[in-house]
Amino acid sequence: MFQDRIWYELRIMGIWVILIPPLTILTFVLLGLMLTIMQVDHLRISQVFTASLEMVLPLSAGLLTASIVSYDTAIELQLTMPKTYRLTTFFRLGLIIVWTSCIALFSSVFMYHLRFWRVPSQVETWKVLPQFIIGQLTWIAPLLWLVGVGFSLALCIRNRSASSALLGGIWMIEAIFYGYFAFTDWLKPLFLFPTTLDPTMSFWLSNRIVLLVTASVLLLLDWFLLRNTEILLQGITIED
Amino acid sequence: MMNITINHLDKTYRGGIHAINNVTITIGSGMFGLLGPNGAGKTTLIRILTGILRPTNGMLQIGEYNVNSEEGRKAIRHILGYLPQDFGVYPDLSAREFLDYIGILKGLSDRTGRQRRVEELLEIVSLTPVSNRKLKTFSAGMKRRIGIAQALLNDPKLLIVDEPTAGLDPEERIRFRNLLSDLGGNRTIILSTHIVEDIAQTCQKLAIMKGGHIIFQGTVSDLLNKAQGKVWIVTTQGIKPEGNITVMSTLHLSGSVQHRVVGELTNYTGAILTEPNLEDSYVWQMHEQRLPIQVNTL
Repeated sequence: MFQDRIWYELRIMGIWVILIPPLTILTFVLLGLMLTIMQVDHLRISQVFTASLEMVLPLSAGLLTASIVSYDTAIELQLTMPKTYRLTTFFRLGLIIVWTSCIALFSSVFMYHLRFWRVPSQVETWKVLPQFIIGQLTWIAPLLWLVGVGFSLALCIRNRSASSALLGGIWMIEAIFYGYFAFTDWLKPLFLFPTTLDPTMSFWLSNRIVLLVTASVLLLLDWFLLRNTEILLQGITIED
Repeated sequence: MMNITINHLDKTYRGGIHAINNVTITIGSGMFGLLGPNGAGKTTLIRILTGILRPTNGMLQIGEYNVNSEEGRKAIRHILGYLPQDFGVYPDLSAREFLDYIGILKGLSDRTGRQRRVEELLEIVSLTPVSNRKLKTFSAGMKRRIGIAQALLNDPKLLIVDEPTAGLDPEERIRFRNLLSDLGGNRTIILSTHIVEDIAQTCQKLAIMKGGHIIFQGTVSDLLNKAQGKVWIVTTQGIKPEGNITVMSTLHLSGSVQHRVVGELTNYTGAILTEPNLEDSYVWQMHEQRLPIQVNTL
């Protein structure tokens, strides 16, 4: 039944859930190859590859989450099922996270092996294995954070376009005004892309931990928000 | 045999919208009609019965389960089949896949048994020949039949269908009504609709909602009796009959016009008293009742 469930949930979410993560990586591989042929500085190419995992994959996962949580064509039916809609939503979310993580982990092995991976200064002196493992926080932390925020926005706004636009806006602010996040004390814990934009910073590890904790709190909050069926039914007539 | 007892139920949405007020009904097994105009509060009541919404006040007992509690709401999901008014499907799944998926959500864990049940239901709703077609290619009537099939997957003791014939052509409507009647048996079926004919053809007992209140509950014959002596055929030369009436139909004949009216006429010249049908009785009830009636157990 579990395999059947996975198959149907993937069919319901759509082919893009499967295609977007590998296509993102493929695009960046092609970009990296192009930059290599153009003899661009190795550091810049590493930055591009790291950005694919730290910045772009988490954004795509966050947008997919916002889109899937905002709208379900059979939501009223789902709310009457013995397997609750709350579990179904988290099941779908789990599939998005697991698949994106598989692609990210697989890609990071190659990037690390081919030295196209930016290693944060804080773990630079560590041995290879712990450095590689802790280095995965580069993408895990922003992935869970953007998924958690996308989930919350979708539940609160109940509009696919608006929640996606807001999430994209947060991402752009982080990317464009990264200097403020890097050098303002109270913004440091919310800096999403330090590995790509400034791996020398001293608060990398604590930043990753704060992001993971924030993401966990958001997902816990989303778990409780999913109990509010009146919010979930917004957009379907309730006046009758 | 499962009884549903609703006592003094209220539902107020955020923003202070009172959707239903002090609703009290008892529903036994068999088909029960919930009739009322759009905006009467039927869907809200149905959503409370299905455990989707929580009532603001009042008590709801379905069989042995107290639906006011979280445990009660969880428990009724196992005995419930529900066809919502806004029945959404997953358009890229085929009919067979959709039913299989809903079967999984309903906890039918044995794949072989689930698939057998899906095939049985496809046969019952006459959709076997198109079962591999994607749902986005289905007509409204076919989607409704898939809707009833999914509701029956777990062989529910309580089947709730909300406006199942809205938007269907006459042939599909008749087919759907017959299907519902066949499903009666030992289960409780609640049919919510604003179409009087659907109730007339399928239900023995009914309640009428208006403005969030129950304004009538009883048998179909009780409702018919209420309009006895109130339905007239009035033949005129073209002048509309006057009085505290609702004109049900107007038929232009050669040289005269025949009106079917419900209510009290000011002038009974040319008026012939006639037997009310359910639609006349419903209109009379809507016309007459302004306040909730006394509670009766059906």
